[in-house]
Amino acid sequence: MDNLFIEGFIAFFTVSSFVYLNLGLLLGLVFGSIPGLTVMLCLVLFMPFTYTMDAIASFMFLLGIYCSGSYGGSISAILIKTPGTPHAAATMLDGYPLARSGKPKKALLTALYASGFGGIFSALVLLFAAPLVAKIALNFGPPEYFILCVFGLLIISGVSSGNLLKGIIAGCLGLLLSTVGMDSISGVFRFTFDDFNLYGGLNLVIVLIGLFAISETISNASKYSKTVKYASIKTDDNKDDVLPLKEFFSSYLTLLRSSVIGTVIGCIPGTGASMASFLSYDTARRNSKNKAAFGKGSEEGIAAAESANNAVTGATLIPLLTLGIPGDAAVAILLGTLMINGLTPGPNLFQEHGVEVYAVMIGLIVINIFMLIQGRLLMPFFAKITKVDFSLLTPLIVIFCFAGTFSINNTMYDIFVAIIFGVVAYVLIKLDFSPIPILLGLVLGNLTEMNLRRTVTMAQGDWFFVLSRPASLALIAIFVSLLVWFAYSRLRQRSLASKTEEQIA
Amino acid sequence: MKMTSNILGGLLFVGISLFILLVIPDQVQASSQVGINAQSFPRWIATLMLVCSVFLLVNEVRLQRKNGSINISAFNVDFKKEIRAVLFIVLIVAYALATPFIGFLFASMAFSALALLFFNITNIKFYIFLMVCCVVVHYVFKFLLLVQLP
Repeated sequence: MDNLFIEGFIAFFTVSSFVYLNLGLLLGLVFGSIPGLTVMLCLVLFMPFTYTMDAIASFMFLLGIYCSGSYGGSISAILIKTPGTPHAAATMLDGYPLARSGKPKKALLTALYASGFGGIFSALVLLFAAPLVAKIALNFGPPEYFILCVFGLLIISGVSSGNLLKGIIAGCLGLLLSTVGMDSISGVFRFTFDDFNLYGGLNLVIVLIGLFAISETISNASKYSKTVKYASIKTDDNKDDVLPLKEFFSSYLTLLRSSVIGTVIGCIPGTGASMASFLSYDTARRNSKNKAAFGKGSEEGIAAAESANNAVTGATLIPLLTLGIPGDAAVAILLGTLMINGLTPGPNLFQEHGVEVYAVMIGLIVINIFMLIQGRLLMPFFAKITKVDFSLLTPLIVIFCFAGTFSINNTMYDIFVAIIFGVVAYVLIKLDFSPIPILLGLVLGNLTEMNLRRTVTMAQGDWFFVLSRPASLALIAIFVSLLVWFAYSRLRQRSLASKTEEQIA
Repeated sequence: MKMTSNILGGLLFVGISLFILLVIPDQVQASSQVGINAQSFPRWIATLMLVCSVFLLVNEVRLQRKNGSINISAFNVDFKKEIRAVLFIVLIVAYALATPFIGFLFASMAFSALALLFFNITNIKFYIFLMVCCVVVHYVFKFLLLVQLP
């Protein structure tokens, strides 16, 4: 391990890594801070740029977007009471009141430092825990992988849609889309309708661009109104509007607790940052000596929400790198990048590409440090970023989508596929179906099918075969208890979110 | 009975899953008739989708009958919004169709200008900004990323 660590460090320590991670951080900050633009959209739009990069540089670039986008959402939540990302809603509960009381810089700095703290904490956990999990996962066979895939899909289906049935239906659609093209086991073509363009299956990036970027622009175009005005806060100089590090670290217990909550939740596929931020906000409020300040501009509240949601970023990489199971939609894109670069996630990744994996894990720590630096330097511009007009962004996104889609196979056919998926996603969103389970179904489809087919072959008609394997039994037991706990905390999160939002309003 | 998103969504996916189940024998050649083959996974998933869709429909109808449809909001189509969405889709399709004929750069410029008109933008700075952006995107993809844009 020591050798891999050193070799990974050397592989990471290149000029290109630093350039791309900083570029990614900047883009993530911009996209995260503009309400309506999402980290997902940013990852989808800029993924084609990584085709010319090596594995480490491309991962640094996308991880930079992922981490800073997570923090960027808090900027608009604090300054204009509009969360740039869903999980920033918990930050808004205290961030906006603190900013309104004349301390916007203090609110932004608390969010930034807490994000950095949570991010570095989870990156360290990733560095030490991932190799251990990978060792355990080496004992997993097809039945265990199949259970993992089903669990991930089920959780994501439940989380992303308000209605579990709709989530499962969307997940099924994704799984069906993954079967288009040549079957990797028998070699027969499926659902190609004699169109040779479909023989290789649907390209993940093209579908992503359609589902998340084009649908977003159609939605923006339908909603656009010049009368929308944000209630922004001036970030003028105020002597009291500072945050000494001593004051920030006075709530170290909250920071540590929230980072642990974020890391644990991030490890569970499908749970996500929103759950982590609301749960740790609630925990911080219950354990605080100054409960009354929560909802009225408590720095502890901002720190709890932000450290938890950024602690998720490193933790979601644990199931991705060790098992090949993406924890959320954004990480599914990272999975695509790994595969494009010939790195197949799973326990063998640590043995076959140990240097690259360690480089990525070390890079994540550095990314969080640079996020602190960029966030501090760019703070004066944040108020301007949050007010960028959508009429400028919407056509620009479409142009990027076209160029990015065309660059994959140099064919106009892909652009029309992306448009079709964009329109389909727009209709499905109108009918309250989330596109996230479709994406996860598409990403996990092949893995799920392969392991299901292998399990059925291994079982030879014995349906209790899976239960006879200790690893499968242990996984089923863990997942059933997690599902119960998950359902309980979801109910708790919902009631807390509605209660606190009522208080703020 | 009110037409809710659950009913419309349920009906849509009942149709999709039935279609898939119907085309599987034609679209997927079974390598062997015994055991699991290339048809099995799509068939199981389409069946699961059909069951969930039917359950979604039945559940919604049952709820509406039980509670009455007074407190249930019907699926409302805001025509003004949807016409804007349809127009924008037409604009995107026109952009895609025009690209092979006039090239990516000019098609993007025309699309940007039309999109700004669509948003009722009169500020000339916005037009200039987007034209510059088109040139930059074209340059980056064509000369830095070496993508042979049309």
